[in-house]
Amino acid sequence: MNLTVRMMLRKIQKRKFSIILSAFIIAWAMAMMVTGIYSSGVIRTSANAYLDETGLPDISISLFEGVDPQQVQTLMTDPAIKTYEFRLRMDGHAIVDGKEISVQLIGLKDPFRTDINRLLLLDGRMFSEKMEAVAVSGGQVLGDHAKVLINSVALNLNITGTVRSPEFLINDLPTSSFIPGSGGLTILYLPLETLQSSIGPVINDILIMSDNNASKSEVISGLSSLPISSTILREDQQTSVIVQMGADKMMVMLPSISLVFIFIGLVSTFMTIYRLVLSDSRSIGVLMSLGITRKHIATSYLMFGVVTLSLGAILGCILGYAFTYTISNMALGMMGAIPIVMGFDLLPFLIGLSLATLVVVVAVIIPITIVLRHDVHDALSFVPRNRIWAWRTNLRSLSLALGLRNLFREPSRTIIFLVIIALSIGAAGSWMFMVDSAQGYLEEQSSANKWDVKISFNGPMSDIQAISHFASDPVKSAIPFSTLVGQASLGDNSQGVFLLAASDIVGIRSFLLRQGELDFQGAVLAKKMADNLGARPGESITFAVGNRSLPIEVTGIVDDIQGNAIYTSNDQVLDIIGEGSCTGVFIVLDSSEQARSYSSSLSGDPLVGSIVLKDDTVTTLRGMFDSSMSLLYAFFALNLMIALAVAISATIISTSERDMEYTTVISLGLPRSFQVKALVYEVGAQAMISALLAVPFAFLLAQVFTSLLEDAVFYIPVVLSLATVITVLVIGFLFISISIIWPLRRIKRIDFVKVLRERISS
Amino acid sequence: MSYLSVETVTKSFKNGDETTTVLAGLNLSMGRGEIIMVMGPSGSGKTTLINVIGGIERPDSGRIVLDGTEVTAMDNRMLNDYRRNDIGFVFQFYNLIPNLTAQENVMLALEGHDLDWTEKSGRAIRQLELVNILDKKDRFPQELSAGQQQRVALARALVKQPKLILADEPTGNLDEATETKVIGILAQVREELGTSFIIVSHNSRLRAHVDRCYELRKGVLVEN
Repeated sequence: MNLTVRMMLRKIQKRKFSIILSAFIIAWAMAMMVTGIYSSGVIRTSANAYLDETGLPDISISLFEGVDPQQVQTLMTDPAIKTYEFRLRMDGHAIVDGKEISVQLIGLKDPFRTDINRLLLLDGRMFSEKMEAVAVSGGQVLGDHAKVLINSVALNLNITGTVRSPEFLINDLPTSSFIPGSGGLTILYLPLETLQSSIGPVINDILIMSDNNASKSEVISGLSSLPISSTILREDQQTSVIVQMGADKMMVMLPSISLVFIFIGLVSTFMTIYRLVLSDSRSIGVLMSLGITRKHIATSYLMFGVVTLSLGAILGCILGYAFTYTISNMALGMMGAIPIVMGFDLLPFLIGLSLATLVVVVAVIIPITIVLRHDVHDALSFVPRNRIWAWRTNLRSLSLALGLRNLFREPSRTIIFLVIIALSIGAAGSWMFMVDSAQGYLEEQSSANKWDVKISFNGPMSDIQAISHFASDPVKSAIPFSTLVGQASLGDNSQGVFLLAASDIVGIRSFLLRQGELDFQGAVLAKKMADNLGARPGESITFAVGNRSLPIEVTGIVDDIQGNAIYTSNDQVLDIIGEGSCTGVFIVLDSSEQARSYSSSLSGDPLVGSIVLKDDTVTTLRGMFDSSMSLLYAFFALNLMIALAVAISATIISTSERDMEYTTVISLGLPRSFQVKALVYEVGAQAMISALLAVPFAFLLAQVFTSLLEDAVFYIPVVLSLATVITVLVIGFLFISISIIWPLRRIKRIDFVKVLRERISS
Repeated sequence: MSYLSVETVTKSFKNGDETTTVLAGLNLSMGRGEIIMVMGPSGSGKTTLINVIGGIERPDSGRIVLDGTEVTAMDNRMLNDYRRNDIGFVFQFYNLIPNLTAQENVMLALEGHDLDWTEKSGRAIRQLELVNILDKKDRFPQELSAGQQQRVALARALVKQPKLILADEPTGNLDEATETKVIGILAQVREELGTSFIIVSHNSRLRAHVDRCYELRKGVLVEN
């Protein structure tokens, strides 16, 4: 083996711990990049495979009123229609544990169909008798029997099992949330004839599988004679939207975080290699004096980079794969236990590896170039830095003075380390800010609702009738509304939207205006949707439900967690909903405490389809957020690990040059507590300054990450909350402080006789 | 009875398969206030001798007794206390802590002694005055010349009033003028405090200032 290579291998062995730490940081950056890109693909692929397999409908159409299925049958002539299903969907109520709950009943002919909206039996058995039903998982547990009231008709149903349905895959998202979720609704599938025997021989819900995307609008056009209240395309269906959001979130978030760690890895590796080549300057001079070329020397030092990169790349690939599997699995689990399809994708690994290589090459070449610029004479006479920076203090404790001066003995290096440690803690802390802000924002958005109870009717009714029926004591005001689900388009852009029309929108909720004005004589759009459509105030968008469409002028853009929302007045959608009619009513009570008793008083009201309490939407949101908290906290903890690695690396670099000082103190017979105290002050000050710096970094990074997330998911205003600041400070301080273990071990293991002898022999 | 008694002390080092004996049944006896010099070529074991007397290294066999206390019977903790209380080291390269001032370096030797800050500070100032470097008390080592650093190291060794000062090549890095100053200080300290010294050195000019001079030859001391 080449002698310089052999020499280098021995040096590498001597500095294995530093190299492993640098490799770990590089691996982490690489793993984040890989995980972001890879998991986004895995989530998308797994979800699409599952939704294809379970037959999530391409088009879901709801009708304002029941229609004779024979009449609909005659319209299903478009050759693009592969298959379809007619259903009857009704809202009802059941009493569970003395509490009235809303139940959605869906009557279908054949529960065993596999070609469209396949029901997967989780437990029990599928319904087979007229008065049997199966419940969709995620809703309230009804027990074996349930008495459900629909339009004053009571159905005594036996609940035979629980199913998972692709259309309600994520059944715990609240209605009126950022996507039109089913809100943890209790949904029952039962025989079509059972519902028809109560309501009449009609259907009001159509599921269609079509041949291709292009034919969807033609299929919808073919049904234009029906009283359509909503058309939802597969890509706008709640399950698809959540999958898309989850995948986009991974794609945006993790690679962004990876860039932060790439910077940290670059600085950390640079500092390690720089210190190494600087302390080796004299050896390099000896090699040069022996006639070994600079190129040859540089190549041998590049071995450090090769080893660091190889270790980092191997670890990065393993971590990247493991994180991708874990995160995708968790995300898919949260989306309704979608089985993971872990297809192999080389591209994320190639991108991660390229970045890691770039980082290591830059971090290694710069210090080598600096040292190799010396001529033989300079290199031979090079004396490693023996001047350090120290300031005079009047501290009446030698250990404190020593600890603080040691921290700043090389100020520029200390500042770099403090910044990168703070940055790594900041990257971890940014999760805390985002979690806290998102939680606060979700609740704030729910609290922005001014109504206490939202009542949806079984079918449209007149505004006047709605107000007169519901505006009795203790109701302060009753605001009729209509909801429509359809498509909005502007130019070539279009997307599925949720439209809320009411005569008094401002009485329903408050808004945070971003552009234009809150003029509901036009359309006020959620910012995310406005961005997607490229719509700005003054422009006109087209809103379509079924075959009916109308232009609405955009008057304002608001922050809204429901990213696909349009708010407008009834007048704007008269052509669709009909004059003076509504599909529900918002109830404002004298006091929100009355909401539950008020909703109970509506029990058995034949006009009432479903009831939602504002408090329940907040609770459900909170619950939903809690379920994803573990994932966010896991990220926080994992990022802290890298912060710890950076802190240990910094401590190693700064303390490993002090063997002679440790030895002197030991040889003077000073108590061990003196050295321990000095280190505690030094590392404690380092931890405190880094943790303090980490707070603004965490806040800034959270803002950067949320602004990136805004495009993919939804906007979250980042809030500087005291609790999060304290959490970042305390946890940051504790994690950095752990790095004291390394110098303490070094002092304990130091062979001071050997160090003294080496000093003499040098 | 002698103040320091080194009796048949042996010390060997293993270097691969080879064993080198540097102290081969070495004996030494000295009285209080004596200054002894040990000379010898490089690798003869001079540093090992002061290391075993100073409790930095343990001998393989033999006995060392200082002022009636057997050093070779001490455990690690006691050896630490022994170095802190009874021994003053002066190293060839001074071994000052670079980010402590001259005064703080001297006070460092009093850490672990039951003295308050004012007392430690006062003692350090007195020692710095004794070695004639008080005006540099607030300087850091890197702001001092080699001779000044050696004087600070000497003050650090003296400040705790040890029973014995072990000096390893105390003039090894000094020019002749500075060397003369340092030797003068040693003599003055012995005069004023009655401190005992063992000085290991190549420097034959020191011989004129010591009570006895030995040469370390084949692991034993031969009076020179």
